[in-house]
Amino acid sequence: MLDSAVIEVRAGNGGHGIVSFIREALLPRGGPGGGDGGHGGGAQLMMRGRKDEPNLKYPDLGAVVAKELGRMDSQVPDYVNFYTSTEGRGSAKTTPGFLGARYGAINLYDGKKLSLPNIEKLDSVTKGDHEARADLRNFLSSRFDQGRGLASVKSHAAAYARVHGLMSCEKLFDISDEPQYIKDMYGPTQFAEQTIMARRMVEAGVPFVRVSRAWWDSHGQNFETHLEMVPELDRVLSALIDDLKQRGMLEDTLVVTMGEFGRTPKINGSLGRDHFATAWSASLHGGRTVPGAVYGKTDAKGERVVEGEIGAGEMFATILEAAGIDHKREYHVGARPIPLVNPGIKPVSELIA
Amino acid sequence: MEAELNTNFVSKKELNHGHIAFSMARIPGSEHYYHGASDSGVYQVDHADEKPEAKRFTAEGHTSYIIGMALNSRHLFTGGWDKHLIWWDRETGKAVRKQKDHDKWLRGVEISPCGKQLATVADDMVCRIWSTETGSLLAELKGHEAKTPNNYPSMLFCARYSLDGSRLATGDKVGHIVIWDTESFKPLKTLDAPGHYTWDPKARRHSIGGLRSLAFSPDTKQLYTGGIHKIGNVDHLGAKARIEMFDIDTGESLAVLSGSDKCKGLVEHMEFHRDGKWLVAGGGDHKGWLLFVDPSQPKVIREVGLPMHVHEFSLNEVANQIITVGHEKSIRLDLQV
Repeated sequence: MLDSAVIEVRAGNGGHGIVSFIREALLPRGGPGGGDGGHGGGAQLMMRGRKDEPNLKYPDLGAVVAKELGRMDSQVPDYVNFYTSTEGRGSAKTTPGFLGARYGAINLYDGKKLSLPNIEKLDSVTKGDHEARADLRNFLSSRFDQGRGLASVKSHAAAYARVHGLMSCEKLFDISDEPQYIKDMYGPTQFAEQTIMARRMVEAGVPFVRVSRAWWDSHGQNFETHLEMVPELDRVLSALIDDLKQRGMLEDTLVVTMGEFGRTPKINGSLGRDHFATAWSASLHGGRTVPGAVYGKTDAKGERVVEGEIGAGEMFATILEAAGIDHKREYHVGARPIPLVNPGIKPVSELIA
Repeated sequence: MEAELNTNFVSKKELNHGHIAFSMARIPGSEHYYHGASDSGVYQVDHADEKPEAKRFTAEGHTSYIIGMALNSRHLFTGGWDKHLIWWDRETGKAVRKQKDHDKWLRGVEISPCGKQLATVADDMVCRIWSTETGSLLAELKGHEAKTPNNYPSMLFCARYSLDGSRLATGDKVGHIVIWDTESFKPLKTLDAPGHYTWDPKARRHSIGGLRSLAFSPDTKQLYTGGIHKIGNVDHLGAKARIEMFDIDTGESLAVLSGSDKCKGLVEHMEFHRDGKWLVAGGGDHKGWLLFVDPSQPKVIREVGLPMHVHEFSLNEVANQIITVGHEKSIRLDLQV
């Protein structure tokens, strides 16, 4: 008996790694496997905790947190994504999946002018006029709604209030009023400035902010790359943790650092390290995590996991629990129940307080 | 022209040693050399042997990559990313002096032509000058900024003595060069080769490369700097090797040279023919090459591809043999005479 398969290939945004395809029963077009050493597949897997189905796009972590922790009457965005370097954006796209655009990220790509897009108040409208217009609209809207109680009117009013709130968010991007000692803690780089903005947003009630620091893809000159980037990450991350702690926010804020894969233990001919999706690390601070806990272990050369191997699903579930979100929750797409993580996936209980 | 410059190789002898050889020091008049390796070991090889082997010279000493090496008649000097400089007795193979020489990774060890001065450079952006006779510290040369213009750590990659020993040049990641007087230890001149700094402000916001090698012309009138051209994708050493030639008196950049698309990566080391007829540069990306430059034109006149990234090489006294060390291999190349 001959075994045959028709493979439909589509070019992705991923990089140089191994390509695989999902081969499951009753799934004739499984799509790229991802999470196996390619940028695109790896990033999507780590952001969503699982692979999309052909007819079902899963939301990423930011969208889930936006839905679970965002407030309907919030006047700040629910999900903000900084990615001002151009490389890697295509691989690490945000997606609300089946949750829909309401929970999609506001993507901030312009490194020169960071603010929410298309919300600037026209120069010809004074601040007083802007507020007066809003007051008049609210007055008319509430009068119209008296005795009617229509959901559509309430929704319309909520949307206006939300946009009005977003228009006043510009100050969150202006870190000029941050004390100098705070700026000194974080350091002078763009990544540092964006992390301060992220902290300001979380402080103002934004449930999820992602700050991306491209680009750790050190195929050549790994050590020089790390001499630039590791001290920066070390400084910014420790400053953020200290800053959150000083403000009494660390217990209510989860800080996650992760990438789409690790790097090969062996040094290549260009003194670089290539993609390695067999063993790598991520860190969680704050929230409901156990401070100082370490889970999992590789062999001495870092070539394979010898203790506590987990996948992207377990990582996703652990992050949800550490953020105070029940990983067993279910959504519905039509009549189909969709759990937040795939059946059988559990969080790493050793890391959750 | 090419035949006159003796750059046709008639034979090649390859040694697979399995580690990354970052640095080397050849015993004058021989094919016997030491190399410093990625396993923290110092090895010795005699390429005159029918089947050359890399034999461990020292049992212990460094704890990281050995990145710089020099020797005189008594001692072998090695420096590593462990920040230490070790003086080895060449006869006994024992460390006679081990010192934490710098506060950050050590990048280069150079000995003056007379053998009396030893220069070390490191990422603390200091060049230290030692007396090889007394062991005393002669000078600390400080002429390089600790941070790049983009607020990331800079690196002081290289130092090189002029052939007459009167000058020492030091070069860093952003392409800043200081030329020092080796008696007064005062800075005589600064040059800038910003084309060696590969900062990518848009796609990835980092850099790899920098100024990696220096060579004075035999008359000390010109300085050659080695690195890599602007890289489109700083994940890889994916740009052509770059050599820039300066007039030391005027500070003027006289030429920027590169080879073909096959010669990508860093220029790790450069040597002049004893009479100044040509300059040979070695380096690579995941593979390696030697580039021969005619300084009178100036232009690249010959490229020789090699299977490994060349981290250092030695041109012999009569300019008819080059021994290269690099990624997992060492190769001896004999030039046609």
